[in-house]
Amino acid sequence: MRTHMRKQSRRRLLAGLLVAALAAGIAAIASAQGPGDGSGGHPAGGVAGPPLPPQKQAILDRIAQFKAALPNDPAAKAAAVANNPGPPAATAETPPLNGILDTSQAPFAPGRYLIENRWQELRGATLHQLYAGADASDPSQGLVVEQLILWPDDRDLTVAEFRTPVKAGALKVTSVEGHLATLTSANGIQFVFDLAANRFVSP
Amino acid sequence: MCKATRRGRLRRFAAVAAATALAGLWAHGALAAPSPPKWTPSRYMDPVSTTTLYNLGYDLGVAVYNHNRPQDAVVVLDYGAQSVNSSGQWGAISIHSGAFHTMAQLRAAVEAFGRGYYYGTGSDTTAQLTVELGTNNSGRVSGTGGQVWANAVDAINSYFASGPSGFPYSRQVTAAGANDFEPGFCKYNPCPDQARTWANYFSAYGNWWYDNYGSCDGCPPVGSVNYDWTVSDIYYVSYGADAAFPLPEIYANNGVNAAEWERISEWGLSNGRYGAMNFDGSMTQSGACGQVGCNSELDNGPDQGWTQLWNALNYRADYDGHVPPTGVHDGLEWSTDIRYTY
Repeated sequence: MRTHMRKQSRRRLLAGLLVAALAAGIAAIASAQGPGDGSGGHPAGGVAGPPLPPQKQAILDRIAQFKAALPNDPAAKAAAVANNPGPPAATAETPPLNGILDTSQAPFAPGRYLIENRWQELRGATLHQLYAGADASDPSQGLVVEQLILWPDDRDLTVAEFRTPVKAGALKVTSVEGHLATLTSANGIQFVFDLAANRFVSP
Repeated sequence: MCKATRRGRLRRFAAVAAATALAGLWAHGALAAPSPPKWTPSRYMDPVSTTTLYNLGYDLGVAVYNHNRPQDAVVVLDYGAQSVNSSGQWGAISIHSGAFHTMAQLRAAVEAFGRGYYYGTGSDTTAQLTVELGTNNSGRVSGTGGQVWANAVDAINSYFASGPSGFPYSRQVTAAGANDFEPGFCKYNPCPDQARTWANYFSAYGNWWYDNYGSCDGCPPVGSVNYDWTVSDIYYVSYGADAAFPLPEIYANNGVNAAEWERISEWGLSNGRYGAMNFDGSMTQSGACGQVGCNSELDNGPDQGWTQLWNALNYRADYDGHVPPTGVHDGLEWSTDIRYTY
């Protein structure tokens, strides 16, 4: 008798768990928003996301109207492809700027440096670049990164980092005369970097 | 009723319940995120030669035709910081070589890329490319800069609509703007205000949209936003401006970037003028890491980055287990990975 009651009780428990699982599953399916559920708009269309405000939807509607007004004869593409003029004739690339560039962008690994600005000059076939800033993990440690690039191949030759002998904050290039670059730190100390000797020297 | 029949019914009910529960868990992302979409390479650009750009676009088109790249693709061509040359012409300074390119050169470059893609896809008439003219906020960031960028995007789209007759480039190629807004590029006030102004002018003077493929340095849950930037600033340049959509950098292996961007969207859900953000996708940098090296903790591949962001927005953040509210869920259309093109 007790065994039978235990079996019934187990069955009730099992049935209860199964009902709960069924309900939870249905609820989860109903609330999930995966790709393609069409709940939101997108510039290129067809992907789920939060609903767009009218201001953004207006942009997409305008673009859709613009495209809808264009010719749409896929067969015409075959003719275009058959008559493809191919790539345009090669043109020379623009040479690099010379002087101090007031931009913090740099072609180095994100998170390594906090660049303030750079100086660069094309000397013969070599582009000399001197980036000034600080170590991202220790902004009190000023540094320069010297990079040489072969031009017009636009190929990196060397890249090397030099740290200030004392921690005085991030550096900025303020002037370059000959092979001597003058840099000013965040707290006003001047440093001189010798581009020929590749080291900091006394101001 | 015989016991066998009751047991059979119970078994069938158990099977249905279990299958439903599993489907629910899958739909809610508890078991696995969906497969990431095929990704495309984006590029930090030095070259503006229309030959080079045509060939890059053509190669992408061929890869799409051969089903190696997505039918619905995005490519950001990042030409670096906006600037004005000594003749008063607007343009951009490339990141690597520091060359100044005029807006006319940049327009011609993007047009050549789109043209190459169109021909590269050959007989495929349905594949779609969005090619985005990219800049960042490390140079001259202003309202006029936003207007100039928006006008360039408009001009490129007009070019795409102009031919070939019967089936113009625009049938398969769309140009948009893009900006790599990063607090670390321009740190202190009025930097965030200038970025907002750029976004406002782009929205007011252009007919198309732009993607913010920037970072959210120091954002919650890590801390507050770095330097003089606020969560509100990041939200505004990513989604609060009419023409803005987010395509954020998801670089960190531990998923913290995905968690940060989910928090921004969640902030928008409660506080933003346009609510939770409708993301365009994710950007990673494993290609650039392979070229110039990078912190080994910041080299997510495109599938990893996309999946982290998907998890953070739809299920649970890999970084801290934070469960997003339903309102921020998003399917994420695009996945792109950036590298240098010298």
